[in-house]
Amino acid sequence: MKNGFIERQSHRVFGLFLIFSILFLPILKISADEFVEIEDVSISAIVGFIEVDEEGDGGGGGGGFSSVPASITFSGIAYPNSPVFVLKNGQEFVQTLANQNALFSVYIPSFPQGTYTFSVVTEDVNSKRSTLFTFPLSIVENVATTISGIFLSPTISVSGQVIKKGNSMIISGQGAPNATISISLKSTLQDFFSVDTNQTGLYYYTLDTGFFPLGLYQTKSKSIKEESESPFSSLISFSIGNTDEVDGVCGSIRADINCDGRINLIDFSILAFWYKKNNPPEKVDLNMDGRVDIRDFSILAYEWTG
Amino acid sequence: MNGLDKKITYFVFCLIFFLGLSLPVTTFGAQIYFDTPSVSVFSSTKDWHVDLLFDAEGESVNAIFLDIVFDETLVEFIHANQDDTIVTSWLESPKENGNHIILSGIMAGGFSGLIDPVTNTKGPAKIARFFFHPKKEGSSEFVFQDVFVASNDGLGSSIETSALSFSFTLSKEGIAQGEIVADKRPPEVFKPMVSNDESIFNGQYFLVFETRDIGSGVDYYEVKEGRGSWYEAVSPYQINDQTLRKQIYVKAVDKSGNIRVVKTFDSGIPVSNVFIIIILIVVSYLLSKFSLKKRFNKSIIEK
Repeated sequence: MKNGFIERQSHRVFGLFLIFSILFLPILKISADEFVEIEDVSISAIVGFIEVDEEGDGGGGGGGFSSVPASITFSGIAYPNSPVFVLKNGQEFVQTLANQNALFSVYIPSFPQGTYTFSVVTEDVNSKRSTLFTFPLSIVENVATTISGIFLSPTISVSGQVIKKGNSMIISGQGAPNATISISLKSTLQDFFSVDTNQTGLYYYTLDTGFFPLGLYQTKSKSIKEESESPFSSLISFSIGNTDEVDGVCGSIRADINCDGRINLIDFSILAFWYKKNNPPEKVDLNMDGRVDIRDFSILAYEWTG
Repeated sequence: MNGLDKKITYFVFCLIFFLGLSLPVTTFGAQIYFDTPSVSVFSSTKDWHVDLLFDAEGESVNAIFLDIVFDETLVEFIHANQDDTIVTSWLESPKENGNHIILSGIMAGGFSGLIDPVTNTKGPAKIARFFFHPKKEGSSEFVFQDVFVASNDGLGSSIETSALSFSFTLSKEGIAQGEIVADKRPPEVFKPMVSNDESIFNGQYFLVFETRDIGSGVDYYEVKEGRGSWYEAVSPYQINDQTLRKQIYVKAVDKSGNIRVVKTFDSGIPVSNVFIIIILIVVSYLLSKFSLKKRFNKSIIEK
């Protein structure tokens, strides 16, 4: 009797578990995949030859073939009328301007064959840069490569390095126009807030610090538009304390050692000067472990803006 | 084992199986390895090369440090070719230090695999190609003594990486890889930048520069201020003329002796501007002369 009861119960539990697994397995898989990377970017290539419609109106007939030089096209969303830079191996290479709807397209013809790390970055109205959108690409002769759907991250700034508890902190920046900005605020717990950008892509969020305990906070933001998401902006730190402290650009951007608002070869060179040397200045020891080593360069590479 | 035990075992097995399926598939660790197009038995009389490759295995990384040990009694390290490297800035470009080859650098913005646009897939990429000169016949291997690969997580955390040793044999019957193609291309065009910061050179102005050379790699740089002499220099370079009035030239020399010279700024007034200034001077001269003549004629008529 007792064994039969246990047997029936175990069958029921197993059955329920099986149904649960079959129902929820796809959901678990999708959420894991979504977490890994942004899938909106499209990479396509035309190899060898393209068919050319000689009549030019799609009327058919009379088509021919034309060879394609190794070329590359980048297109996507930046900020309205913002300058867009293409970096080749971390250095500025080509510049263009996004239109008033924030759309941009860069065509680089006749590119030499090889391996290149291309990055796309834009600049807001305050000359602050987005994070890099990076593609290590193998460029092959006679292949026209197109990378579309690039969605550049918004910029982010805070109104002070230290804000007095109870006062309002302004979190602002620029992103795609008429988009939703999701702001992440992290201390011991992580909170999310959202705000919309206006037609010029600007956004402002007023954070009432009275609801938060004293301590160090990190914030970053991303744009969401028509079911597409940009990567996160760079990470900005601030503290909620007992007094207000407004700081300039210097110190608010991690790894911007010379405080010019950029993280590039200059900051790399300053860091390289202190590599493996004793008693480095506090501001070059990015991970604050008392020395400048490859870990500090990793932080610099993460924050690189060109 | 009675029937109930069997069922419990079966239940536990199914539980583990389905839990395993439900968890996201995760791969841990990147891989660093040597690759060569031919078998690893090389000629003991001809120079040979081997590629050092990096496979991110789905991870996003942005900095690398490697210390590779080789048998200096068997081979001599000639140089490392940095064509097609995924390293965007070298902290230590591959250099010989006794029987070690040490290299470190960053991948700005991160690297998670080299994209092949034709197949739309990500794959391994080259860090560098090492060239060696054989000294005698024998067998040996390249061993990784120290490996650090940093995650592109903004924290500098390390990623578990498997670095595979490379075994090879040098013999008279070994494969000769062919002559090294002569590099006739100069290093790529680059843009030196001037800056200053209190953390180095006591806040004095310095120059930073970096370029890449496809073919043989950059060997060294030289700097010249104004009409002075060329001096071998490394970046960052402390500028002697702190007034920044002098034009500064930077020369990049590759391992084949090809040269690229660039300067910090365009001195003087552009030719087009000079032309406009000359036209303005001529026009204003003619106008003044014309108005003077008119005034002179008017005064004569009045008299």
